[in-house]
Amino acid sequence: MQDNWEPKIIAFVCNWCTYAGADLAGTSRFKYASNVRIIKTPCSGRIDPMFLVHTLEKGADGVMISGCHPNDCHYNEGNFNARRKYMVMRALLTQLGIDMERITISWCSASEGIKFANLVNEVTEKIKKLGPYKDIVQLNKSER
Amino acid sequence: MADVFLTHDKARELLIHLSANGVEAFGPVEKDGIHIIEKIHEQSPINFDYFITTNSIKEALFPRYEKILSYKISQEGVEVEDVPLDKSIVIMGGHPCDAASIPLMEKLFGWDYKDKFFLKRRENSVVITLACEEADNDCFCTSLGYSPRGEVGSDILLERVSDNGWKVKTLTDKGKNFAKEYADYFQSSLEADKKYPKLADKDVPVQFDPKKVKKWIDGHFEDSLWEKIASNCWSCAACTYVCPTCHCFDITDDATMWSGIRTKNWDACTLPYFTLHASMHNPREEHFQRYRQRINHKYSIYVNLFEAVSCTGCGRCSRACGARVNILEAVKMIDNAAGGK
Amino acid sequence: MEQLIQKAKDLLSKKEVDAIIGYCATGKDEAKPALIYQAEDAGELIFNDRCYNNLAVYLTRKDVKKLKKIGIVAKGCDIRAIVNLIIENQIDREKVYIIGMTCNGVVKPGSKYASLKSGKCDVCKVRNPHLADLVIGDKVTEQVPMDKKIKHADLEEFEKKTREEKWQFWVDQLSRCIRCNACRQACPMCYCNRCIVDYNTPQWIDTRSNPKGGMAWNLVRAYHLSGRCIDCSECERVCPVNIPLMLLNRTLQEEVQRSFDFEAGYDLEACPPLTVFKKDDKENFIR
Ligand code: SF4
Ligand code: SF4
Ligand code: SF4
Ligand code: SF4
Ligand code: SF4
Repeated sequence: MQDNWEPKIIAFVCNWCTYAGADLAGTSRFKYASNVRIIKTPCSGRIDPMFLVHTLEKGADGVMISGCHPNDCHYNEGNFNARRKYMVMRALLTQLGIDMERITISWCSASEGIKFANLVNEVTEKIKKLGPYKDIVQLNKSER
Repeated sequence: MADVFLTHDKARELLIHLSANGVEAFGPVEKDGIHIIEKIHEQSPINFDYFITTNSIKEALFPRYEKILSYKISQEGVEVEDVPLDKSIVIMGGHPCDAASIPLMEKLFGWDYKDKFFLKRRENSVVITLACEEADNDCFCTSLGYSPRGEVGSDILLERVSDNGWKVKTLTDKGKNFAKEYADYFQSSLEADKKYPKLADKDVPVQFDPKKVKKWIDGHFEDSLWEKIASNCWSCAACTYVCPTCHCFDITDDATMWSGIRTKNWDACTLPYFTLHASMHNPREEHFQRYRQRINHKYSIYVNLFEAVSCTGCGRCSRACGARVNILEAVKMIDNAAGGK
Repeated sequence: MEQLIQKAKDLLSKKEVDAIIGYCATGKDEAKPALIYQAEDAGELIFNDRCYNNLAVYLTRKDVKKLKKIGIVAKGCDIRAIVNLIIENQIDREKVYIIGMTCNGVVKPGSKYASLKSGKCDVCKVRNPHLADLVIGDKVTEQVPMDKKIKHADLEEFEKKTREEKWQFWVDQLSRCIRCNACRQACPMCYCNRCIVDYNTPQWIDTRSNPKGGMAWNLVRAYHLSGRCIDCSECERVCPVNIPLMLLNRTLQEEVQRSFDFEAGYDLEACPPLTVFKKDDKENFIR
């Protein structure tokens, strides 16, 4: 691992809570690591588990998923449905031997700017310790 | 020329030696109870004790996916990089029904458009075939004029003389040169076991007449028999992908904005989306129309184009089909429908 | 068998059904699926321990969907698939006439008839059909009770592996996938008009049958079957390169049972577990 390696982390967040929370973190000038690229989705229910797989395939070292707390969903039940999807997805990915340490799922409301900033820092630290995630990217390399 | 022999152990060593020295060596490996032909590496569990491999040797000449070029786009323009095709290839472990597919596929890939990927590989390859010692109810090579000890398409034929060795029969110059170059691995004597050869042409009876079958197909494109033949087909591609003579492919790009890889992938007429038009019209809407295409192409269209049936009677498609569609039964039904002699 | 043939003849000749999906013999003492349209062909029908195909897969095939009413010869496991198709609104209960067969188990792992790694019959709870218009055969007395939680021994063994070992195992297995789609086509629950793997805008799954494509395809197929897979093992049986797909399917079956207390294919009144939720669903994995 090179000394100057910095992890790439992709965060899928819902528009109504976590994105606003991340915004709050920015406007209140909480410092958080710049390794996270945020992708805004309408709802945590929109975050298809395929997003996650695709992100890792394309070379991300870590993925974060975040949406409104239960009962706070803008669409009432998106996050409840999401919760069930992630439940089974986690079981599947674990069984396939994909590194679950690199995937963080959280609830984070519009007022929890500080929670989001702390989480990002914590995840970045963790992924830095784990190093680059090569398992899935390497699969792409094989030419017959 | 004096007789030459090869043992299983030496053959294994030879394949691994070749693969370690820049040759693309293909051989039979045993994995989870099945035998498949694949590229050999140092650790490959090579095993020669099988009846027939699940896939065919086409994997070596027409791989299931292959890069055909890569490109980069920059302000200077598009930069295309070709794929080098200069590696020599050795294919060991197919049966005569595998080897016979090579001249058949060559007709297609060398037709109006010359497919350099197949042709170049074909030119660079040595095909070492194992004569058959066993046949099952799905085998019908003899009905198409081939033989379990046939030589078509092979450079070297290995005929079993004992549980762990073969008598080597070099058939072409390529084969002779190969045997000379690797003479260290061959030997001049081997104790023969009387139980071999176990299989002769007569053990695989001729069951239909391809000419008659073609004639019927040509006159019966719309016939309810097709529905009966394929009534249980669920339209996957298992049969086409294990077939040594099925050769359809699709070309796709795996690209980002500024660079990409172009790939040639296997495709199959049995899949529902094979013929789907952009308008969403599908001329082969139903399962039996697609299966009809498979038989029609092999037993009639190919004959019109190249005067050969595009099937070697290996029976792999029947064995791979989870729905139990059986090509021999299908062709025999047609043969029956054609009636008379 | 007599009774089966007689019933099929009756149904067809009285025009109560347009066709019957059943099994008939092949040249190789095996059984193959067959669609019977004429009463005089009903004599071909058979039933024995080689009838492992799950015939429910044909209920959603284009030509069969067009028929007004269809009869089907079904073992308990096939009926689980039919139940699932009904609750997912793919077929009407009125449209199918189910000839339920009591069953002592079909092909076992290691049998010469089919390449199966995992036995499904030893954990079967429905040897006596749980939903049928007519049941044929003697009642089977030995049967796993309905309320028993199924634990699969091969899965327990597999879970002892470390993460790295699991990953290596699946890379080895799934690189072999030739992407023939047999697992999808054989599956009664994979009835989508357009499967995710056939989409190219966006292209979710690599079109190449390289290790990456094999991994993505098998991952998404298993995931789509979560809470829906009825353990018929057809996908694994038809895989020409013997990939142990049931390890994945069963992982999800067990997870769905653990987390949502649901098993697919038994209850006509149930809702598919991934279309509903409970406010107090487990969320110990969420920060
Ligand atoms: S014949 Fe069998 S293997 Fe071929 S497409 Fe039909 S079901 Fe699949
Ligand atoms: S069509 Fe079937 S029998 Fe003929 S060559 Fe192909 S796999 Fe073999
Ligand atoms: S995934 Fe496999 S075991 Fe599950 S329903 Fe489909 S074919 Fe049957
Ligand atoms: S894999 Fe998914 S999208 Fe494809 S047919 Fe099955 S359920 Fe449908
Ligand atoms: S049946 Fe097997 S080889 Fe074919 S697509 Fe499914 S997993 Fe891959």
